[in-house]
Amino acid sequence: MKLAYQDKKTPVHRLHPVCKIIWVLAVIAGSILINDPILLVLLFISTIPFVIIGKIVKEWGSFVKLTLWLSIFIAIINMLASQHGSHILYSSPMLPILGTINITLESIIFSIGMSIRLLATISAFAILTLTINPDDLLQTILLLKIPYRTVLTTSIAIRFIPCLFTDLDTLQSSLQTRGYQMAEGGFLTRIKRRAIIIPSLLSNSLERSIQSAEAMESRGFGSKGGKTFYNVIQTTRTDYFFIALSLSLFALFAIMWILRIGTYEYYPNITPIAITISYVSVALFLVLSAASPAIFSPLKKVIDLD
Amino acid sequence: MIEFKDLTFKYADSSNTALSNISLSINDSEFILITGPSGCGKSTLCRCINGLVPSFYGGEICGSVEVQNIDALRTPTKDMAKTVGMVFQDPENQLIATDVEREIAFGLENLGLPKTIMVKRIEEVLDTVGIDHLRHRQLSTLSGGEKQKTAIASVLVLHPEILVLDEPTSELDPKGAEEVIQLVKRLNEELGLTVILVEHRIDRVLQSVDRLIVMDSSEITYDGKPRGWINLAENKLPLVGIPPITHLSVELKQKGIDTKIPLTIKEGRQIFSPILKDNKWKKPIQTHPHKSKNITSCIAKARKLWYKYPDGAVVLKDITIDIFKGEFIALIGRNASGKTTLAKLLNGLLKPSKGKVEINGIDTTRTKVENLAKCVGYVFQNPNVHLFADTVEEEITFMMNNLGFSSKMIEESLDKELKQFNLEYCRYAYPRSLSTGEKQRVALASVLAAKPQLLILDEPTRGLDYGLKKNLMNYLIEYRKNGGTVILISHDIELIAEFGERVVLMSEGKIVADGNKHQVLANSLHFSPQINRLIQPFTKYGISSDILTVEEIMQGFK
Repeated sequence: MKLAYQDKKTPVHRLHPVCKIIWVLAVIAGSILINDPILLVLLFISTIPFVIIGKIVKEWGSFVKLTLWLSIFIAIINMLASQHGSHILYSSPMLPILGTINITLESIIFSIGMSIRLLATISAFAILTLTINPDDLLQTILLLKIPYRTVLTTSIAIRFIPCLFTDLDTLQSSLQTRGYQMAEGGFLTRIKRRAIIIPSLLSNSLERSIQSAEAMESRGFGSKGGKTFYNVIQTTRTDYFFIALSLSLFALFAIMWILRIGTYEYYPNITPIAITISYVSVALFLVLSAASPAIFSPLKKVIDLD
Repeated sequence: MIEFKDLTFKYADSSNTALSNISLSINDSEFILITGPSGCGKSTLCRCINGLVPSFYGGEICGSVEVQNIDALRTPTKDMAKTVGMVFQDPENQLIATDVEREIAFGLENLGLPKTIMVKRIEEVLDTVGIDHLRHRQLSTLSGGEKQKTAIASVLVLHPEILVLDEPTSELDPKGAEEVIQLVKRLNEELGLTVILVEHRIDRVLQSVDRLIVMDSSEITYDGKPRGWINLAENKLPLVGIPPITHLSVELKQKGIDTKIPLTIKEGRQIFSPILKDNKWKKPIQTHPHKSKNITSCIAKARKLWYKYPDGAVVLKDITIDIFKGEFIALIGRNASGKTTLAKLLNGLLKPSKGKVEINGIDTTRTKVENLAKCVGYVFQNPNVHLFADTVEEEITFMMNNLGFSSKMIEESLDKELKQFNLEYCRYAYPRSLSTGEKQRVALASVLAAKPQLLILDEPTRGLDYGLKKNLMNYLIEYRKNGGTVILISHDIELIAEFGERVVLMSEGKIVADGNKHQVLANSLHFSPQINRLIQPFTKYGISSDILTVEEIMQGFK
């Protein structure tokens, strides 16, 4: 399974990269400004339709699985470290240095809330990574008037990252098959022993970049005259609608934060959750925004022939 | 027309000349094959045609190169792109975009062409190269052959008059290589494109080219028709990689039988027909089927071995195999048949998902790969992944130091390996600055110095010229004389026919044939060598049907 972009030709893939970037920023803003666990759950759920419509369930699942493990780790640390909360579920005997450790209901609920926050953010990022064509992203960045050479160089450098990992793996295997003990000794010794790979890794990368540069020059890179683009991503009505929705989402979260609607007190006692009209409206809004790529007729990336 | 006049070139960081007094004329629509040993100047010659030499590399140059009346040495490469299309060796590193269509568009975008023209040209080139079905595919999902075809399309789209291909098949498996060569032939025949192809495996193209240029030590040593060169080269045949079918005619000539020189099997059957039908063959060569040896001499064994990659792909299915001391085993099969995975399980780099692998009685799951290094040496395809030290000497002693050899043993082994691999002259050189052949010798010496009992080589001959291959095989013969066991993963059937003993054929994660090379390779539709294919219609005249090499056919000849 590839955890990189694959063109699956879905409405999510066809959305303008700018739309997806603004949407991700809105989800991140939401997960920062809101700490009500129910709203955070809604926020996370709102990303799932994108996953289904974008046909990236398996790939997205791998991101989520990793986040869940990370969440469990964070939750355990939080439960052990945070001694706040009034409902003590377990109290450890006196431990040297640490003293008594109390595990409270509030710290458990807080950990769950934080995990959902992390899940929502990672989910949005995963959708972005899995559905944006790197070449489209390059063109989007060009809209910010960053020089083409800089953007292309960055894009190629990013494309080479998987090659770098493959190289690293092969070089490590080569060292192992020659009896080199990389995992021997303390932390610093291990780092030092692994450092032997760096010159070879750099050398391989340098050779690769020279070959790329040769190929680019041979295909007219840097020629005088204006640079044209084969694919021009057109902005459609759906894109505008989606941007408007994402910006409204932004505004909604900001208003909720200012009015303290989405804030939730975990300590010293968890606040009882009451389903109010604000929840219902937020939920509706999120579901609408999540379903929007499918609601509208599928967009077609049209080659601009003008 | 391309015109080289007295061209001499030296790279900026080198003391040797890369090209010496090159004078050469290439006419429009000619199909030229350039061959010669690694480091002889073939690639440099190609890079002069589109100005990469000297404008990209720099160096000292004298003489001139004119390409379609353009001074190629004083014209930037980017401006030569419309005249000369250049395709490189590595299919991975010459691609820029993420999908096929945009990759092809890259050059057109650089030239600033309007979109209407781009659309038309891309459509045309997709059809011409025959990759229309790949147009929306991500480059990362393409096979090596498909990537090379995309690279060819991405230069053809600029409508060059000349297509230069620098070893375009050296990184490809046989199927991918064949596809690329067929495409190049078609482009020359149908579009009248001037094609300049650098290639080591000349048997693939010799029959299709108009002219052959052979280079050695920065000079052109032959320029003319391919058959003319074979006549000329017959005295030093061991040094050149001519097709076995052609080699046979030279051997027969030395026995006093003068025949025409065939370049293909079909031609060979016509030319050799009177000889092969002549019922004067010695009795068929007795081939020796692979016998089960005493189990105590088994160095490695796998039992009911399964391997599944983390992504769920099952690449090995129920493999059981014994590797006996002193054997030379060739592991063959199509790409993704599980050869490399099996090899990595046999040295402990991978651990079985199910089943068991034992090296000298040690279960690989119970020890680290570093600890198995004493028994099993592994040579990777790319010699660069073996190079970590600052000098050749340090590189060779690296493994011995890791395995705790005494300083006396290290000293003795170092001297022996330097001598055996002819590396004494570059003992203190930086390994990465050496030539391909030298790097490969260093890689092999660095592994063999530690005297492993079993040596696994993963496609070590891919991209090597015939001379380097022959040298490598001679080193392996020497290693086996000293009791070593060899497992060679290779697609090179001719090489296996010549040097192999036991052949293991893999397909879709299973061993489908395992036995003596004559049993496995003879009469095979896909894996039989040229000579075996040649003799099949003549077996009724007494010639043995499992003959694989020129040497074997000559042994049976009265």
